[in-house]
Amino acid sequence: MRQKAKELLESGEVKVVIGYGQGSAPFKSTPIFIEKPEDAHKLIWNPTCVNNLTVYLRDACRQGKAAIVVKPCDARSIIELIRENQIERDDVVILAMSCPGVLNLDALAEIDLADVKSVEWHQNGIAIKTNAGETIIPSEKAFASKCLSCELAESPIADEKFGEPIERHPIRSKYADIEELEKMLPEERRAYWARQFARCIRCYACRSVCPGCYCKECFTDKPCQLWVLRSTDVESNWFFHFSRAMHTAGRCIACGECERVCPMGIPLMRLNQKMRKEVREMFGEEAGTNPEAPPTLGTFDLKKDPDPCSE
Amino acid sequence: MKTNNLKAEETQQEKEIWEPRIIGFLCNWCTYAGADLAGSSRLKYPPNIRVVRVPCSGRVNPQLIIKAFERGFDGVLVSGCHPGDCHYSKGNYFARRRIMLLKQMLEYMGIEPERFHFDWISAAEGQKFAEVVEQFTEQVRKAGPFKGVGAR
Ligand code: SF4
Ligand code: SF4
Ligand code: SF4
Repeated sequence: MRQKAKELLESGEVKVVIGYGQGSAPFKSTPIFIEKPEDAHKLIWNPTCVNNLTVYLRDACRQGKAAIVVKPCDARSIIELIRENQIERDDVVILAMSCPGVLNLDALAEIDLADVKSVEWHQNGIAIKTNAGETIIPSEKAFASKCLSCELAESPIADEKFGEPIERHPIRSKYADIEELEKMLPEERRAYWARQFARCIRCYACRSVCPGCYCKECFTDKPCQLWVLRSTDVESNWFFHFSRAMHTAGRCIACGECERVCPMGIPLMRLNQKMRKEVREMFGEEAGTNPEAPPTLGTFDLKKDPDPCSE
Repeated sequence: MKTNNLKAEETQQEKEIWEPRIIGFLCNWCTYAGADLAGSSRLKYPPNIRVVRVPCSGRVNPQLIIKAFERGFDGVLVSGCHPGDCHYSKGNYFARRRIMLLKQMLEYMGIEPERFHFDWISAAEGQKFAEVVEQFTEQVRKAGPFKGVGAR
């Protein structure tokens, strides 16, 4: 992958390679933007490569052709960006990695972080090397929750593939979290969301990290304050999250980034997964699979669409 | 805590005289004209509905409905031209998709399904308009005062 990145930059085919670099600690990676061939060695690939880098793609492609390192799940957002005319297929070189799963930072709770030397994939999960030796964290604990239900053997879109396709055995249903909520009474669910959203500080990190949220000007930033107040309260937070969910309908690819970056631990995937499930059941659509398909809510199917009056 | 949530601040006395507050987003070409016809035919229907005239049911951004519940409305009605009759030929087909999705999500977000209603009502259906409003108002009345989206 480094070799390919180097070649691409040397030949001038791309202006930049977006990938992962060593973060501030061995158990962290950071997005890096490589513009010189001699810097290509800075690229890394290991279980700490958690971020979905496609959020940078739109801006990068404005400057010229860009290459990007992606996991299979992230690659789906490239499909969405093409589908919604945010980037051109020809403006991006997709370096698709095969991915056994990425690190769930919580799994390191019992490990002395200052001691960590490296984090690597292991056949039974993730191996953490420390001064004291090696600890193997088993898959169920080691991997991010999205990985436990991942069905993607390889990237759905790619120019160059690295690594072998992965044989997948999802160990939980991707809808496991929402089933519990679906069983509640509406009133209980309302109280549940009110409790969650009461904590939201509206830092908008969930929005900023989302590759599907690419509007130059977001309704939340409108100075007139008609839609959402500047200050936070449960009602405005509820409004913000519900609206954002509707905005990402048909384009959320469940990368889990919004939930991961939330400083308040708000379970946003419970909202996204529900939306994805409904879109799939009602319109037979799955975001991130077909770059040719018209946007889910920007089209209709006369015959197949359900009618809200005939229920 | 919150000023715009009228329901949460209601006193016992106010509850006894509670009347459902309903907002209706009506398409200019069909349902709004239908409502007009109901009026000029002097049909009786409950006065609980506040009407917002929109150019097309396709104009009903889900955000409008979400906002209505955020502001504490007890019920929301959306209505437009029958399929095939849209003034802009396909606005209501887009609306149909969006509304179906919104309907599911409203319930998931904890809004009782009784508080939201969607219907096709044409300009000639003054009678139907009056009936729909009547039935919907009853339905919302049964669901009771909406406690607001922030109620824990
Ligand atoms: S969801 Fe799948 S592709 Fe994405 S990081 Fe996890 S294992 Fe890799
Ligand atoms: S990241 Fe979390 S706290 Fe910040 S706006 Fe999103 S949900 Fe709220
Ligand atoms: S809403 Fe969340 S899970 Fe969906 S694409 Fe955006 S960041 Fe990823």
